[in-house]
Amino acid sequence: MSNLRAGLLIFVYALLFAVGTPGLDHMRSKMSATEEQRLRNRAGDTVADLTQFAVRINKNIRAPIKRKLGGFQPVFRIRQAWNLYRDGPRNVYRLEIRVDGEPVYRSEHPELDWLEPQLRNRRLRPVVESTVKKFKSANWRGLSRLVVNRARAQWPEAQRVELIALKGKRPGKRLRPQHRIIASAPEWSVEKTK
Amino acid sequence: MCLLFDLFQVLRLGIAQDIFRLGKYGGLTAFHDPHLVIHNWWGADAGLIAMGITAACAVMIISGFGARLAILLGVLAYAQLGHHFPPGDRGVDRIIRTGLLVILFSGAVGPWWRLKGKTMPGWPVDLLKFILVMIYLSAGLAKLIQQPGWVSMSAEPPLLRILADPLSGRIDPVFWNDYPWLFRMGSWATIALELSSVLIFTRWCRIWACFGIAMHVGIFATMHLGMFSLGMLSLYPVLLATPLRPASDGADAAMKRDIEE
Repeated sequence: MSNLRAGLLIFVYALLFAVGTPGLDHMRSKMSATEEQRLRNRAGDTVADLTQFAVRINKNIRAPIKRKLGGFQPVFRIRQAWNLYRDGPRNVYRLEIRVDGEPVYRSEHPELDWLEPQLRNRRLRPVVESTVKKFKSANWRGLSRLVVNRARAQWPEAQRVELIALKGKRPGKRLRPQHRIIASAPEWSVEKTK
Repeated sequence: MCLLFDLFQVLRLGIAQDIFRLGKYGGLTAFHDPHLVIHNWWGADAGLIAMGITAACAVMIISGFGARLAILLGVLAYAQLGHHFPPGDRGVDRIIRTGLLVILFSGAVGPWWRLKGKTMPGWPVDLLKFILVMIYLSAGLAKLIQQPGWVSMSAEPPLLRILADPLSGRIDPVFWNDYPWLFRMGSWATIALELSSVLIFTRWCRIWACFGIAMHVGIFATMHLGMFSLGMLSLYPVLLATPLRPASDGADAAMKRDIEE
């Protein structure tokens, strides 16, 4: 029994290491000759050779194991890929919400904090981020509906609700609208404009 | 407990129906993972039902009653919540599910008064340590490979960009922009901590854990990441087990002496 447990444990360790090998998660399956030469020029022959070796290991050994044995991961949603904030945005972004032209919310503003707890919730925050940073974000309609419905509940006589994505160069003293989402009475359908 | 707190927050803020309903039923998300199956069984309320199951299982796990079944059902329901609303299912959720699956097969399942003083195999602790090393090492290497500015002496510190992002950080980008050296040092310290996570396998594990705790407390104070730091710190007892147990035994002995006196 203990031998069986030991064998199973070794298998589990090997499997976890194969599906989540540190440093190889973002490695591509091949490196072109141009990319290799650029790397050689920038970082030297040793780094380029090691990178090429890692790419081959990733493609020929790790990727097939991950494909064949990593299929259990989605069942429990435990994909072993750990980014954990590689970098931050190069520009400064804020979301501003206006009801009938009056600002009621702006990211990290001490007074304009309507809906702050909801928009800051860790499950909703990524949707806010993608809606502000990208014009073509997946869930902008859903987020807009959430904001508009709550605005209409809070201010029943409101005629217009806007979500404005503000962007500016660091440190962010001057921000400009990069796109807007607008909903107006009486239809209250949401539209996005640049 | 982290998970219960997190789900309670979703309820308290009144966003459960927005997050855990599909777009076609009035929810927020326009898409879901292809591995979502519960909406075929339970329709529009599938997400809310899975949320209830996850919370109920969390209570059973904490109490220790029916814990093994609760862990299995809870992880499956929790995973379906993630498939339901992928943007809201973050790294900490995967970490918690992975940790729960390790505990599922361990001897540390049951009411706490039955576990106290019980001898059990140590492989779950070793496996959790291995998983923590993989997490931190992967995070550190991913940072370095994709953004060499983490160790640069002159580039804009990535840590400043992360903490001073108004969409996720708490600190003012205008004010703190004048102190890049502070964030440069923080960036180096972050990389050093993550790449040195292999020390978890050595006798310096507890010292490393103290720095890890400091990092997660710092993240909690400077970013709006919800239960991320709490979820990570919930695994730290496996790193601090050696000093924690004598301290706990000492506290028990002191209490017994007080009662006898």
